[in-house]
Amino acid sequence: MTETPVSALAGLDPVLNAPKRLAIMAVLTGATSADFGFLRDHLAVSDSDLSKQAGALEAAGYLAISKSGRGRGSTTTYKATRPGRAAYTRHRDTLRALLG
Amino acid sequence: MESNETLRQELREAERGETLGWTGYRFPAWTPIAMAAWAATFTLGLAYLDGVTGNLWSLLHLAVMLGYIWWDHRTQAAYPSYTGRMPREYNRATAALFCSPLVIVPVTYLLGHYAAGWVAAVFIGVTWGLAVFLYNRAYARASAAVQARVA
Repeated sequence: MTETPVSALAGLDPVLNAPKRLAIMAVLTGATSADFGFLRDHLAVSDSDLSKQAGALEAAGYLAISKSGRGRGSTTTYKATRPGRAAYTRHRDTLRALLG
Repeated sequence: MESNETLRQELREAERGETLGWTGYRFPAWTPIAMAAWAATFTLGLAYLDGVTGNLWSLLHLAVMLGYIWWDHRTQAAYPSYTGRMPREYNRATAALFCSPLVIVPVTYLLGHYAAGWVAAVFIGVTWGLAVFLYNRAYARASAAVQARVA
């Protein structure tokens, strides 16, 4: 296996190195918004895992979380921020370049 | 360090994820009928209502359309981003839908001018409803093609 130049790895975002976070950002990049249930079902993750990963992405400034309603009828909606979209695109393009 | 195969799998998952906002979207079945009625009644107002009544009629239609978009955004679990990267399978259908008013609107105007307002209203109702119906069908086919490609 050939050695990967360090400069080629510069585009990889440490926040998005976690596959679940990368998958969340991928969905939110192709959609204006997605709700909690949609992400959980399509990414096949548990409620707590999705909350945890989304919290990490929110802390990085990559997504915005909004809640509407109260109790059982409440909805949590996720939306990628502009820096989040840029970081995701850079990370994915770097992955593509690394893998040829 | 992760192997190349693991990274490839992550990349495949990411590429699949990017399409979910599009493939997960479902048009309400009644949209062709609603769009046909909206376009026809809007045209009838333009043809037969003048002054304040005509303006109020147009504003009402604008409010209904904005209300529909707002409601659709709220009720869909995920909403495709038309400003983002649209999967290529949707290109033809989307271009056709957005270009169809370039034919429908001038013909409607001519019918309203040379025939009658109600003729123009019927024409735009039928053609726009049909355009939306065909778009919904083409969208569903494109979604199936995208799902097959990224599976």
